[in-house]
Amino acid sequence: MGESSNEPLRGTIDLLIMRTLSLAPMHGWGITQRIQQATDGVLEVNQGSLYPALQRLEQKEWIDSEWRVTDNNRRAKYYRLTPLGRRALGAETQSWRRLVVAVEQLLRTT
Amino acid sequence: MRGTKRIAMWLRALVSRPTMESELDEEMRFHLEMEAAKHTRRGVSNDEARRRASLAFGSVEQHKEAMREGRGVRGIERAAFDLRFGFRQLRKTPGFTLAAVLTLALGIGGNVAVFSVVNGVLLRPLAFPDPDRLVTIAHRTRGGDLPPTLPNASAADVVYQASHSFDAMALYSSWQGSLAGGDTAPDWVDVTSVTRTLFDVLRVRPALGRPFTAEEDRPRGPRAVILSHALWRQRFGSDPSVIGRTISVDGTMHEIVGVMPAGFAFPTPAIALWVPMRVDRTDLGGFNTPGIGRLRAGVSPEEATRELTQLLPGVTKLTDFLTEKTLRDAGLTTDVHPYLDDVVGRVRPVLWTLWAMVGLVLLIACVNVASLLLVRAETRRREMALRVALGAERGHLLAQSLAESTMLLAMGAGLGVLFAWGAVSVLPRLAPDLLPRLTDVRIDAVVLAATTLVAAGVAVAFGAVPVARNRAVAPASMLRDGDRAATVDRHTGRLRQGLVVAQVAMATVLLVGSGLVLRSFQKLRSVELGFRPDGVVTFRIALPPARYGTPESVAQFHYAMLDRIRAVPGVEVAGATGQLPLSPAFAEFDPLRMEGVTPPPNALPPLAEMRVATPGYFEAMGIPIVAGRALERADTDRQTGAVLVTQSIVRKVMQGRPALGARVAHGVPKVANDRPWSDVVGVVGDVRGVSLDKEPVGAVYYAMINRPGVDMNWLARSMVYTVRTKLPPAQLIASARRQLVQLDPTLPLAETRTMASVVDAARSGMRFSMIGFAVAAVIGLFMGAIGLYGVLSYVTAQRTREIGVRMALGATPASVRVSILRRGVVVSAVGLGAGLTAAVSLRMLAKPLLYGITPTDPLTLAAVSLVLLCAGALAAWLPARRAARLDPVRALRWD
Repeated sequence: MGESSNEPLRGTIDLLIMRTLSLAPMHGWGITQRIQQATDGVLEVNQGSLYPALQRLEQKEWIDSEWRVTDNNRRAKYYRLTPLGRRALGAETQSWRRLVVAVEQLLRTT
Repeated sequence: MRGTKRIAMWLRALVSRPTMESELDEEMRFHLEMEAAKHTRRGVSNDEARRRASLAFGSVEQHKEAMREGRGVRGIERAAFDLRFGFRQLRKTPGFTLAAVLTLALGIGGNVAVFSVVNGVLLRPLAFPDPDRLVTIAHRTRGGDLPPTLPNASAADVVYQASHSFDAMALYSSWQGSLAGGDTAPDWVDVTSVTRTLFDVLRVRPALGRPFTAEEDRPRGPRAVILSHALWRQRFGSDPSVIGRTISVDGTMHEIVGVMPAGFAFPTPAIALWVPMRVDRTDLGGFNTPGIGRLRAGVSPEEATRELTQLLPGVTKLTDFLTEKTLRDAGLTTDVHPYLDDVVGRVRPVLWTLWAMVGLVLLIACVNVASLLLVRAETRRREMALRVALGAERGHLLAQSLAESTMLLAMGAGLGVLFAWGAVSVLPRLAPDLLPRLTDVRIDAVVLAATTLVAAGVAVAFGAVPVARNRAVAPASMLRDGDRAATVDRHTGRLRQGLVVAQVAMATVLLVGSGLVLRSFQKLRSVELGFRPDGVVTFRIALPPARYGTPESVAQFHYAMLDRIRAVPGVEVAGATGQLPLSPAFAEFDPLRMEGVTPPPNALPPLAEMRVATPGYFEAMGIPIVAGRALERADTDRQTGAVLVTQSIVRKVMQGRPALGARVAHGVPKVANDRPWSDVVGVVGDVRGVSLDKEPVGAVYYAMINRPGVDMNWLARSMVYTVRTKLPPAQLIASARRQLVQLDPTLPLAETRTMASVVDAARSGMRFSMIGFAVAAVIGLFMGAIGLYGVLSYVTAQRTREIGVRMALGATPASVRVSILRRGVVVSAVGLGAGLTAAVSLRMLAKPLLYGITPTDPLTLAAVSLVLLCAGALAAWLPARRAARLDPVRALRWD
C-alpha cells in the first residue's frame, strides 16, 4: 500500500490518539476519521497501527473503553482518556513540542 | 500497583478469552462497516465499497493476531490449545489411552504407596528433638547367643556411669500392669518403668506436672507415676487437677506427678503409664533391660561403642562368675547404634526391597507406555509429514507431543495417587502389628512432590519419543510411500524388541523375588511349631499384688479358676502358662546352671527361657512329654521345685547326662545358692518360643511354687490360660468371664485370642512381604506380557503385506504361525536369561528376607522360567493365530 508517506511518525500515534480522545470519547473508526479531518488528510492512521496502539494505551491505563450505542443505533467500543492519561498527554505534548523546536532549529542552522 | 494490575489483566485475558475474541471481532467488523458506509455515501456501489474498505483495512486476521499478541498471554494460550488438541487425540483412541493411563496408574500408584510407607517408617525422623543423637545401648557376643540387651539394669547403671560419650543414658522395661482408680473399672495397661534420666535422653518434659525426682527413682522411695496423654483424656477426662491424686498400679498406690504430651510414644504408642525403675544397685537382675542414650554432640556411635566396651570389664566387680577373661572369650562387646535402627530394623530390608520391586514395576510400565507411544508414532507418521509439509514448526510438534504425554501422565499419576491412597488406608488393617510407626505413614507433601518429580521426568522422556522417531522423516518420501512400505525399518524394530527384552528381564527379577518369598512362606508354614494350635482358646488373668500378696494365694486362685474352666461342658483340657509361645516381647532369658556341672571356665553360661506352667498346659497345647511325667498339682507344695526341661536343654546343657533327677537353677547369682535348685521331673518337646524363624532356645518350665521368697512367684502372677475345646471361642470366653466374675469380680479377662491367631500373627511379617512382592510380580508379569503382545501384534500388522506375499508364494498357515511364535519365545527367552542373571547377581539383597531356602533356590528359578516362557508363548499366540488366518488376496490389497 502506497500510503506509507501519510502515516504518522512512529511513536507519535499515541499522542495523536490521546489528543483526539481529549476532546470527546470516540470509537476506533471515529479516531481515524478525526485525525484525517484535523490534519486535512495529511495524516492517515492505518488500522494495523491504530488498534494495537489503543490496546497499549489501555494497558498503560491512559485510556479506558466501554461499549456504547452510536447515533445510528450501532454497538461500538468507545475509548476515553483517563485522568492519568490526561496528565500523560500534557507531558507528551510538551516533549513533542521540545522535539519539534529542536528539529526546526537543526533544520534552520544547517 | 502496576504489577498487580498487569496480572489482573493477564488473568482476564486468560479467563474471558471467548468474550475478548468476540469483542475483537465486533470492533473490527464495526470499523469495516463504517469505512464501507463512507464509500457508499460517496456513491460507490455496496460491493465496491466493501472491497475498498477491506483493501484499506488490510488483513483482519493479521490485525487480530497482533492484538492477541498484545495481550501477552500467547504462550499460555498456545499451551492450552496444545492440551486441548492432545486431549482430542487421546479421546480418539480410547483403547490406547485407557491402557496407557492404567499402566501408569499401577506403576505410579505402587510407588506412591510404598514410598509413603518408606518415608513414614524409614526416612521421617523420630518425633524427639535431635533424634539423630538417640542411640540404643546393647551388647553382643561373638556367637550372638545373648539377647541384645544390657547385662542387667544395675550393672549398666554402675559400669557405664564413667562414660563421657553421652549427654544422658537411661534404661527402660515394659510390661502389662493393672490400673485402678479414676472414673472407670480396673484395667490392664502397658506400663514402662524408666530411669528418671529418660526425660533428659529424649528431651521431652511432661506437658503437665514434672518428671520423676531422684528420690522417687530410688528403691523404697515414694511411688510416682506419669500418665500418657491418651490415658489422661480417656480415664480422667483431661482434668488438670489430676496431678497429686493417687492411682493403683499393680496394686500399689502411686502419686500422679505428670502427664506426657499428646503423641509421646516411648517405647511404643501403646504405653499408658511410666513409673520410675528404682534400680537396686545391690541386686543383679535378668538379661532383659534395654538401654537408650543421647550422644554428646559430635560423638559417633562407633566412638561410644569403643568407650563403653573399655568400661565393660567393670561389670566383673559385681559378680563372681564373670571374669575379664570370660568376657574376652565370649567376645562380649558393647554395641551402640542409632535408636531408629531398633524401631525399624526388622522391616528395613523388606521395605527397601519392596520399593525396589515397585520401582521395577514402574520401569516396566514406562517401557510399556513408551512402546505404545512408539507404535502410535509409527501410525501417525503420515500425519506428521503432512503437517511438516504444511509448515508446522518442529518445536511446536514437540510441544504438542509433550502436551499429549503430559496429559497421559497427569491422568495416570492422579489415578495412581488414588490407588495409593486406598492402599495406604487399608495398610493398618493388613499389617497392624507389623510396621512400626504406622501412624507416620501418610501421603504427604514430600510423597506427592516425589511423585510429581518422577511423573514429570517420565513425561519428558515419553514426549520426546515420537518426535525423535519422526525427526528423520522426509515429508515428501513419507507422503508418497505412506504406510505401504513393505517392511519396518531395521532401527525401529530393534528398538522395540530391546524394550520388550528389558521388560521381560525386569518381570523375571520380580517373579524370582516373589517366588523366593513365597517359598519362604511355605517353609515357614511347615515349620515344626512344637504344639498344636487348632482348637486352643487363650486368655490372660493377672493378679494384682495388693490383693494376692502371697505365692500361696496366687497358686490357689489359678487352681480354682482352672477347676472352674475344666468344669465347663465342652472343655477337653485346660492349663496355664506365664507366656504363650511366639510372643517375643516378654520372653525372659537367663543363664542356666546344672548341679554338679561346672561350666567350662571363662565361658558364659548357656541361656534358657524361664517359663511357668500348670498341670494341663502341655496336654492343652499338644506339647509332647518325651520322658518322665508332666507337672502335677502336688509339685506346688514340694520342698524343692519341680521343673520340666525341653529336649534342647538336655542336648545343650546336660550334654547327654540323664535328665530325670538332675537339678537345675536359673540366674546369675552373686551368692551361689540364692536361687534354689529344682528337680527335673520330665522332658518335653521344644516349641518355637520367640518367633517362627528362630530355632527354639531351650526352656525350663517351673511349677507354681507355694513358698515365699521365690522369685518365680511374679511369673505366676499373670497367667495365660490355654483351653482345648470344641466350643466356639466366643462361647468359651463368655463362660470363662462368668466363672471369673464369681471368683473375683474386680479382675479383667484380657488378651482373648485363639492360638491359631497367635500363630497367624507370627506369620504376618512374612505374609506382608509375600503379598507385597506377589502383587508387584503379578503386575510386572502382566505388563510384560501385554508389552510383548502389543509389539508382536503391531509387527504382525506391519508385516501383513509381507506375510500375504509369502502365503501367496506357498507358505502354509502353520509355518507362518510358527515363525511368529518363535519370535515371541526367542524374545522372552533372551529377556528371561538377562533377568535370571540379574536376579542371581542381586541374591545378597534377598537374603535377609528369606527363610529356609537359598536365594538361588533351583525350584523357584525353574518355576519362574516356565511361567515366563508360557506367558511369552501366550502373548505371541494371538498375533500368530491372526497371521495364520490371513487371506493372501486381501493382505496384498491391505494399505
